[in-house]
Amino acid sequence: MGDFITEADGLETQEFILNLGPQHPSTHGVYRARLIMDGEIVVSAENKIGYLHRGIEKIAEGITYAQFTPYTTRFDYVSGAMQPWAWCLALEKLGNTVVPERAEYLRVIVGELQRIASHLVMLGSMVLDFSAITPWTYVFNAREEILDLLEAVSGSRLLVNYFVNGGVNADIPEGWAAKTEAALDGMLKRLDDFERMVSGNEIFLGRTKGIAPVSAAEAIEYGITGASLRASGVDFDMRRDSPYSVYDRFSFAVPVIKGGDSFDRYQLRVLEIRESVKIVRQALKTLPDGEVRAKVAKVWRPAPGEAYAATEAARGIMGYQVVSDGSTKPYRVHMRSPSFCNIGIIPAKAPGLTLQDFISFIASLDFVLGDIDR
Amino acid sequence: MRDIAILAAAVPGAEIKDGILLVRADRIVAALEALKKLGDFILFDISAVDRPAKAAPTAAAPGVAATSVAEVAAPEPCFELSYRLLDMKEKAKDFLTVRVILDHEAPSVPSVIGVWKSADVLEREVWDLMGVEFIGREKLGRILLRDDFVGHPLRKDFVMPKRERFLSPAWDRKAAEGGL
Amino acid sequence: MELSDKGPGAPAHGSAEPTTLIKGKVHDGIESILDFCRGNSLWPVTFGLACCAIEMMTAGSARYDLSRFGFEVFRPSPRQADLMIVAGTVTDKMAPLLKTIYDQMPEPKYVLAMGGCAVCGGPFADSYSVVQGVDTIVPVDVYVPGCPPRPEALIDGILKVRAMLRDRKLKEVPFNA
Repeated sequence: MGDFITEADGLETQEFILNLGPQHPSTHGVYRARLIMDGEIVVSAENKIGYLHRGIEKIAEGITYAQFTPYTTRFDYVSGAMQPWAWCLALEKLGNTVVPERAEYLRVIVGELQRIASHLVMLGSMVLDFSAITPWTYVFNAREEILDLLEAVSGSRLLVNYFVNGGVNADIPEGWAAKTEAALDGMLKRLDDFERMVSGNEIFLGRTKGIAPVSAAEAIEYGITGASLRASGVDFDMRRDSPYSVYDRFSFAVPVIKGGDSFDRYQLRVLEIRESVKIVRQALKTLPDGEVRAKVAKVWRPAPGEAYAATEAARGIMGYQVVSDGSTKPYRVHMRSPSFCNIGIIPAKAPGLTLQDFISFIASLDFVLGDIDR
Repeated sequence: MRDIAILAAAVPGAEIKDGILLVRADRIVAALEALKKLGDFILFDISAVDRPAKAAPTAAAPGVAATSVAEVAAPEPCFELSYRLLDMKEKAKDFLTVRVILDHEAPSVPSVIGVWKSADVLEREVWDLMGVEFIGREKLGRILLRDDFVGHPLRKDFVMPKRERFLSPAWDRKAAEGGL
Repeated sequence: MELSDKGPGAPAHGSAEPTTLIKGKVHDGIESILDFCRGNSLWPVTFGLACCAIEMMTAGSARYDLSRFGFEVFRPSPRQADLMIVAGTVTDKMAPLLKTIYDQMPEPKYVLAMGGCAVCGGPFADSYSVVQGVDTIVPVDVYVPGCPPRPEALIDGILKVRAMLRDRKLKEVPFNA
C-alpha cells in the first residue's frame, strides 16, 4: 500500500480532519468520531458524543418512581423491554419487595425475546453498513415476528412497558406460548438463511476478519462488558455468574470466542441468539401459575437509602444506582451504561485502521446512542 | 464477592461502613492500585451524589399530603463519589463500592486514569454533569453537554436556563400578543 | 444562522403559488404535474436521531415496505434528498447540525416531524438540553405523533406530504386522504 508516491518524489502528503457523523447512515445514531486521516488510514480518532443527551437522570428527580419506569426504556431503545429490569431490581431492593415466581419467569421470557430482537438489529445493521441490503431485510423480518409477541403482551412494539416495580404489568394472553414457539421456529429459519448468506461470504469475511482485535486484557482494562467482552475470550456473563431473577434454573451455555476481531463479535451474537432461544423454551415449559405483580403501594415511599442493581443487558452490563430520601421521588438515579464504557476503546484501537475498517469496528461493538448519551 | 474485611485489610487507610469501603480522597489512587493488584477486578462505574446542606422543611398546605421530604440530612454538605468495582474472583460475582467523601464547595479528587483506562470516560462524565474536578489528568472537557454549556446540571442548585435560543421570531411575536 | 420566520400554522414549503415568469394555466399545469411526480418519489434524508429511527428503518424493511410508494431511497447526503424525517429527540447540541442539513437540502423540500420528541419535545420537554419541538428550528409540513409512532403511522404521514403535493391549496389534510 502506498508505494505509488514516495518521499523520493518530493511530494508531501497532509493529514486532514474528517468528521464521521453525527448524521451518517452507519454510525448507529448520532455518534460523531473526529478522525485525523492520512489518506485512507485513520491516524487518530476521538469520540464526540452528547448529541442525544436528554438529561434523563435529572428528569428522574422530578417524577415518581413509577413514572420513571417508561423513561428507562428510552435509554437503549433497541432493546427496550429489558431496560427497566435493573431499575426494577434496584427498586425491589429498596422496598424489600418479593417478586412472584410467575412474574420472574415472564421477565426472563420477555427479556430474552427482547435480547434476540436486539441482536438481530445489530446483525442487520452491521451488514447494512457493508451495503448488504438483502440480509438486513431478512433479519428485520425475523425480528417482526418477535415484536408481534411483545406487542401482544404489552401493547407496544418497540418501547415496551412491561416490567414494573414488583413484577410485570400484565399476564400473557391465551395462546401466546404456542405463538412464541412458532415465532422462534420461524426466526431460527430466517437466521439460518442469514448465516448462509453472510457468515461464509468472502466479502463479509474480508471486511471483518482481523479487524481491530481486542485482547482479553485490553477488554478488562477498558471496562468492556457484554458480547464484546466474551468475544475477546473473557468468560463472564452475569446471567450465569451472578444470577438475578430465576436465571439459575435454566441450563444454557455462555458462548466465548478467543479472538476479539469484528468477525468474532458478530459470530458471538449469532451464538447468543440461539442460546436465548433455549432459555425461552425452557421457561415456557416450566412456567408456574400465580400472581404476576407484587402488591406495591400506589403512592410508594421507600425508606431512605441506596440500592445498586445490575443486569446483563443486550449491550453489556447495565447498572442502576438509586438513592432515596424517603419521598415519592428519587433523590438521585445514576445509570451505568454499557455502551458508554464500550466506546472508550475506540480511540485506542482506531489508529492504523482504514476508514471502512473503522466502520466495521464500531458496527461490531454494537453501541446505541440513547444508551451512551442518556 | 470476597470477604470485605480481607479487602479492607489489603487497602491502605480503608474503613468499612455499611458494606462499603470508605477511603480518604488523597488515598484513592493507592486504594484502587491495591485492589487491582489483588486481581480479578473491573472498574465498573464512577458516580457522584450531591448532598447539599439540609433544607428547611416546607410546610404542606392543609389537607394536602407533603410529597417531598426535606433534603437528606448529611452530617455536613458533601459530594459522595462512589467507585464501583466488579469482583470477578468468586463464583458469585458482586460489586464492591469504594466511596470518597468530598468537600461540597470545591470537590476534587485525584484521577485514577493511571490505574484503569476505563476511568477516562467515566470521570469526564462526572465532571460534566456534577462538577467534580479530577486532578492529574489532561484538562477535562465537556463530553455529554454542548461545549458552551454553563453549569453542572445534576447538582441540586442548578437553575434551568431560560429557553431563548432557537425560538423563531414568529413564536416570539405570538407570545407577545398573548396568542400562545 | 438564519431562523425561519414561519411559525406553526403557516404553509411550510413547496411553492404556495407559481413564481416564475410564465403565468397562467400552462405553467400551473407543469408545476402541478412535477409536484405529482415528486409526490410519488420523495427521497428521505437519513436523519434518525433516537428511538423513532428504528421505527423509520422498520418502515423501510420488508413488512411495511416504503418502496411500494417509491420512498425507500434513503439518501445519506441531504443534497440528493427532498424529505427530512426528523425521527427522534433534537437536543441543543444537535440543533445547529439539523439546521445545517436542512439548509443543504435543495428546494423543494419538506420536513416531517416524527414522534413526540420532534413534534414538541415529547417526554423530555422539560429537560435542560432538549429542543421543544423541531418546528422551533425548521418549518414542518407534517407532524406524526407517537412514542414511537408505528411504521404505519409514519407511512400515513409521508402519504399526507404526497397529498399536500397533489393539491397545493390544501392547508389541512383530511384524515383519509
